Amino acid sequence: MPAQRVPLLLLLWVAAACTSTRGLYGWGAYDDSVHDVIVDEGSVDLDREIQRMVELVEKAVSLSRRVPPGLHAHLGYLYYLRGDVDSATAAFLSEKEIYPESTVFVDGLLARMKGAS
Amino acid sequence: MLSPACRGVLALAAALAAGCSTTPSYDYAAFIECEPRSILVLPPLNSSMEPDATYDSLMTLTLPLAERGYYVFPVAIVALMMRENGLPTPHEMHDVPLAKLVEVFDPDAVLYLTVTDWGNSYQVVSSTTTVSMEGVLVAADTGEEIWRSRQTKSKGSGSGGSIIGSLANALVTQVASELSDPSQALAQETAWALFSDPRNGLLPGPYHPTHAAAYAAAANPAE
Repeated sequence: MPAQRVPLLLLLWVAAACTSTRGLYGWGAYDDSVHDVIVDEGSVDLDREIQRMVELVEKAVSLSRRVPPGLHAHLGYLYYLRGDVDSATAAFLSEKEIYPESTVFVDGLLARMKGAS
Repeated sequence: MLSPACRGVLALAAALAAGCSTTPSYDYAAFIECEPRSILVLPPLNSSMEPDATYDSLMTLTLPLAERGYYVFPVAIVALMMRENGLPTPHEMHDVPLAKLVEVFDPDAVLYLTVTDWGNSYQVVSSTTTVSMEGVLVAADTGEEIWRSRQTKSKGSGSGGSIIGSLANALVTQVASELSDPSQALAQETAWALFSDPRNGLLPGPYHPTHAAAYAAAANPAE
């Protein structure tokens, strides 16, 4: 029994040492933005939301951290709602470049945006 | 990002944990077969007494799921797109055929969640905040259920019990986004526990440093 406890304690110590540093991503206000965009649809302050997300991306880049999955696409959609198709396109393409899992989804967004404008 | 040294030690730690643990009871065969990279989260069904629980909970889910190692489709856009396409409530969204979801989003797996408790219950001398969620993960190409679990968290009870639990809570606090509503913070804790429970959570996804070790351990539970 004591022989089993040593690796378990080692594991816990290691887990504490590694996980307490930080997670995989820098999150900032992404969750809050998700909530505001859905719940206040129509009355959401797009400039404020875009500002928050741009700051989040800049901070992640400056700290050499990964931007969370979906965030660039979220930002792109905010740009699209504001009518800034060029910035929206750039943000959607960033999502696809960083996360190829989003390829079909992003290509669909780009196609629909092109068709609508 | 974890340093390579840290990753190596974590992989070793995962292997040690697999060697020590005695009850790897959850059957991950279908999960391993699917090996999802990307997860589409639909707005949760809500059977709680709180009418806002669907979207108050949806905002808390991306962080714990992504930190578990998965690509998570942007939940706000997914919800807005579905609304725009004539699906006003989670019930209708949950009824969309998988083939249609694959056509539009191309996820490896789809997560169907239900919030069963949300908010305060008042007793004689105190109140307790409780959040309960149950989730089913379905392989997008076959429709096969590859994982199912439920989790409940109450504020003021149950926390600080196990060391693993405290570690998870510490990490939630570390990476936590700026959630002001205590129910939302509790919901994020609940979701974290639901996805990352070492006994029956999701196996760590491809962006997680213990992905390979955890898959190996789950594939050979007897060793």
